Amino acid sequence: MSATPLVEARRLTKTYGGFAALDGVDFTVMPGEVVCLAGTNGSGKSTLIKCVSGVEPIDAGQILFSGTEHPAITPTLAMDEGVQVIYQDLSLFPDLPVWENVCFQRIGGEKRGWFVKRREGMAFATMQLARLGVKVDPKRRVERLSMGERQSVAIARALAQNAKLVIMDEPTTALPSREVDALLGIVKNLRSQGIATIFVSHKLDELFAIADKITIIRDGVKVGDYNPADLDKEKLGFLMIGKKLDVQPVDRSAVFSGTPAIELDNLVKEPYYRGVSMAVHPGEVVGLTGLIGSGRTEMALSLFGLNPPDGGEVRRNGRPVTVGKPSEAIAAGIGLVSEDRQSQGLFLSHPITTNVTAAILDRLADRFGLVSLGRELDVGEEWCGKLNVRASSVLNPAQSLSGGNQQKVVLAKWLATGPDVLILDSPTVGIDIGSKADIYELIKTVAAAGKAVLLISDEAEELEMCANRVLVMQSGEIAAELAGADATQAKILAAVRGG
Amino acid sequence: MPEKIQRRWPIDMDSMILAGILVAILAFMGFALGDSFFNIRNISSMVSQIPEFAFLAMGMGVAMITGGIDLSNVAAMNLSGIVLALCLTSSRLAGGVGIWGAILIGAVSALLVGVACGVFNGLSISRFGIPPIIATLGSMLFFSGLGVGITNGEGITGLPEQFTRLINMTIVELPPPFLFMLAVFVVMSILAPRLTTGKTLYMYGSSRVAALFTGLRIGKSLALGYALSGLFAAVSALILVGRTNSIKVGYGDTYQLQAILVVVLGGVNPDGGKGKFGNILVAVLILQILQNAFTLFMFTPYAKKLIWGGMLLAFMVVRTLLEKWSDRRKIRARMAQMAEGA
Repeated sequence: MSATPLVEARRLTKTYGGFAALDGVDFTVMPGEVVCLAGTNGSGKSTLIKCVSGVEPIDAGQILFSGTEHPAITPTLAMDEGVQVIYQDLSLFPDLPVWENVCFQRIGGEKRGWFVKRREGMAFATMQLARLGVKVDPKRRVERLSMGERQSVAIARALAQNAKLVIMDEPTTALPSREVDALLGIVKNLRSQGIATIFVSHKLDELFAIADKITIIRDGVKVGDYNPADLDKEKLGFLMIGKKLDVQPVDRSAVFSGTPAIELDNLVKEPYYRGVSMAVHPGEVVGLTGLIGSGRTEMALSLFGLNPPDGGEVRRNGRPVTVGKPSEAIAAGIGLVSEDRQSQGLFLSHPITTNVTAAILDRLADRFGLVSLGRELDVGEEWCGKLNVRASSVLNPAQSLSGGNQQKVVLAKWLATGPDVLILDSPTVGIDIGSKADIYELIKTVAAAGKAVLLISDEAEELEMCANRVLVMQSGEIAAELAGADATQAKILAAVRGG
Repeated sequence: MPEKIQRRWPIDMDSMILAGILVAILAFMGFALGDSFFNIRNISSMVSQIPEFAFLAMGMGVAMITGGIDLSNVAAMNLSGIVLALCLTSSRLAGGVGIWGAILIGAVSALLVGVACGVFNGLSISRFGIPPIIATLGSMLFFSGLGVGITNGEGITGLPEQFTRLINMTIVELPPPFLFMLAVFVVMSILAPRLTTGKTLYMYGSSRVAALFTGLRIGKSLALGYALSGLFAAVSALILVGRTNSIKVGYGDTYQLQAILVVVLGGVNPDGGKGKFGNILVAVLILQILQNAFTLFMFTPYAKKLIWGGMLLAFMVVRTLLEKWSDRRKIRARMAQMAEGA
């Protein structure tokens, strides 16, 4: 290609306290190109984005915008050159209407007058949204929009600031699959208007669906630029982690019978779900999927005592139990690794050991209610060892860990309670494929130890890998059960979409 | 484990800074005031003033570690002080069980009243979900109202001298309340982070949502935490009544703001989850020395208020700046670790 690249990074190097987060990385984005960045957590993807958008100064190398070199890149300069980053939290104002979010730069920026020109602003916002092929009422407040619509608003805001390159950092993590398709459509629309995209995602399917080019980074070094047509998932995975992943899919021929470890009989909680009956046997992994809002998370919370059901019965080993609060769930041998590990699963500022032992304080304490530090450390170290948590000290705060290791700490917290029933709600969201493989192995080990596992997930691949059978929920009811040879990715996806 | 795990506590920045400030202030006092500060009379008057305030500060510390606040502890102190004084001045009680019996009954009732006040706060926060600042603001007015109702707003004086002598005696130049306070600080420093209830409260302060999702016993622990704050308020009442030989609604009102100030100064995170009682003690000492200096410099009460308020705000600003700075360092270190570990 002879055209001038929109962004060109040459021999980019960035070190933090002696460690090279980026080591001599070359990177180019052509106008209108969709570049996918692939790499495990900590490989340097985020650092690269920060350098290109001027958030982090670079130590060596050059970054050229449209062929021009700049002595130093600041966020303002990057924005003037048309580089817009859409972070995971989207940085929108939830209380303000869509149009004010889209043109807030104009409202608060240089072109401001004494009064906000409402009609002009709304027309402008509608136009930007139309460029994405999205229809959202510009008067609606952002907090009332779905996650996908919010994302559109954030992208429209980037366009309103004359974006030539939109950088999306894991934009699909929080999106249900229907909205993911819509987002990929938006990226294609941008491409047709000559606007380039850097797209970061842990979901490999998405990369193959839209990438013009896949740039792989490992340990701060570029592995290479690849044409997606030359790669398949296995090869991409291999290039990302530098070794072959060896996860065996679950044995589908196993038959589970006898008394279920947990059994739901006609469980109801309006308006979330109704008539839910299912059973999970010891040693079995049952997958549960469905769109967000299908009632699966609400049902999981009911089993854990956080959303007590209106009617129906829950039986543990054949005996009816009522779980009115989480401490009763723990007493009944039920553990829940909840959906949002950062806010629900962890005490981020507390040491790893404290997190691991949080649910078993009563058991660690002596008869005066005292927990000795040595005891706590022993338990923390034992579980970090078993689950292969990578940390330099178990006294480090949980927030210092990477996503995959944080999730292992949450798993350790629940495994330490010795549950018979373990409910996992989206356990691998936002986790790279290396750590994912660890967690899949762990799920199998836990099941092999005779525990009943209920695995809630959006990812059909994950369910195919781990679950003995898969239940699909739709608008609060169990719509399908896929077992044996039927539990394939394609059939799961079709059932989720109401096929 | 790929790496060897180290059993090592991180260095506590807050303790170092506080110790530094204490030493600096002492040095300044020696330099600026010399003997008018460092003399037996001045120091022993300080030592006798510290305990009643220190107990209030400890109670405030417990509440703030849970991410709450206890605006009612001075009111609770007054209420239990009133109950104590009523028992001590009741001639019928003294006639029945003797003066020492009356002192014992009075002290126990006062402590019970303090605990009851605290449980009242704890339940309204955990059972009814009232935000702590509102719940304790309400109970502050309620407790003061009760106190005024009982006393008609008048002071109670003329306590038996057996009681005041007990509180004001000295053991090796030090008053018993001061020694007791030191002992309680030591016990709190050791036990608070190790007891299941204490750990639960620290975790609850750090993240309420995670505490809920972990199945911690939140209601019981909060009730116990605020009960402890109430108990400390009552201990403070025993000392105050003994020292001033009187009690009246409104006594010690200035302690309320100062207790918040001193707890924040002691490095307790006002959002909860973090704080050490040893550091609160150092902060109490710093505040008391400054208080004493203001008196020696003959500042007006208005100037004092101005300085306390200013200090609270200034300290929060400095703290935020320091945190930002160390966060940035932590992020750098974390990135380096990730780059190394990836």
